[in-house]
Amino acid sequence: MVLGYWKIRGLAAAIRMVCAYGKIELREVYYTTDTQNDWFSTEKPKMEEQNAFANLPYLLDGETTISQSNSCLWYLGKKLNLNGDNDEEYFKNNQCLNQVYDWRNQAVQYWYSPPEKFEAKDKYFQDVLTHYNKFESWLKLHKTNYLSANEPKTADFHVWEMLDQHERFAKDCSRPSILDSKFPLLKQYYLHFRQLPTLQTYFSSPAFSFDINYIFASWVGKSS
Amino acid sequence: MTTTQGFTVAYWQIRGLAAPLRMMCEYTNTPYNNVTYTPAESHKWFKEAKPQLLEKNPLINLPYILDGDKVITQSNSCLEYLGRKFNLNGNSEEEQLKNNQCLNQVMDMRNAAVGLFYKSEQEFNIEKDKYCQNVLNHYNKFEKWLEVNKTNYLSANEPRTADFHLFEMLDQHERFAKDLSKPSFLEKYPNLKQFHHRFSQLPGIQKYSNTEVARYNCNNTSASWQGKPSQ
Repeated sequence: MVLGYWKIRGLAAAIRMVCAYGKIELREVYYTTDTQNDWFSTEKPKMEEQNAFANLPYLLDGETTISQSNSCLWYLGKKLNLNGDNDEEYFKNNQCLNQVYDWRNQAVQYWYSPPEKFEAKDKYFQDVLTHYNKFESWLKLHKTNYLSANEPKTADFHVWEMLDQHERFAKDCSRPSILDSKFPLLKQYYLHFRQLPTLQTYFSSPAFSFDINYIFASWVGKSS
Repeated sequence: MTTTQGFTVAYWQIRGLAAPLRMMCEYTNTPYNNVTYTPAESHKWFKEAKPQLLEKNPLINLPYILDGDKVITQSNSCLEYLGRKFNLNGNSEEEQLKNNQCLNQVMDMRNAAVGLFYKSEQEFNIEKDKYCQNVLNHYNKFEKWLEVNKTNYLSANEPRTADFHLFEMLDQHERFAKDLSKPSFLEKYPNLKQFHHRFSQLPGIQKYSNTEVARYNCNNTSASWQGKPSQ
């Protein structure tokens, strides 16, 4: 299994975590400003002959080329039985996957916005609470340890990643932890996930210390 | 609004994200309760239905589907849910993987489109020409996809879930080009043009196009481009 992405956490972190959790041996291809021309000029056009949507992140599994990060997670979820053990879990996981993707879209639009727009931090820290409220209420309603079940499913990996990125962002902005403010269930969720035994290797790996965003972002999220 | 209404598809009284859901129901001859909210009725959503449905689904938003005791939201989840119900998500693992990627790719296209459509009038006028260039990246991808896969539709020779959303996006963009007095986007994309035509000729889609819901505006009244139906 090959994962290709920028040498950042970004959209690949959740995928890397799923592979670590599922004990999939992953070979990673990292792209940086030095190697991006290889991607755009050579590898991408070649990959498009197999998969016209070729983009970063991509997964290569034998003859199969998968693009679109939610599809990569879905594919791995199928392989590792992490999409949900029944229809109910599957659609809980599916909705959470799509909800966290909405959250990420808003986050990256803000983090990559030009300095004048990026300065409106108060507004962002206010608006982002919509997502926290939704997931906190979700955990309160379902009373499961994770979003869809008592064990993690694919959406948990991306939701945890977004929570972690935002804890770092709050710190970098010298603001208090968002989780500490009024999200006890999410905080508990966040801490439990961080203790998962099968993920400790990932958390000690270089990939966990990559920058969160690309160098052109207004907030890169450099490792501490 | 309670969940005893029977099978329901709910959204604003526009095409927007619900058009492919409604199309899937017509295509499969499935009666559904068409719940819509107009701007004047937005309190019915924000003050009545939403707080009630939040208790069953904290992610609740428009569109949502009610099916028995299930409350599904997030449009790609609604699409996949109907796909599961109607057996339209793909007949093999390969088809399902293709369909899944196409669903996500179309959503990227839609997010870019509504990013323009809902800008202020001033920003819309500044950005629209650049948008019409950038959107071709999506056309290129889908054209190439059809070329590589050599199927009538995105995942198979029969429609699957993602086809309904792609058709809707292509159809909205044809209307958009017309309203901007620009040439059809499809003219330079023979596979997509054929896809669009073939899909529109499906009996279930013809049936859909004669319904009231097919004649809603594409976007809400707050949009700079509402996409009103041709008179």
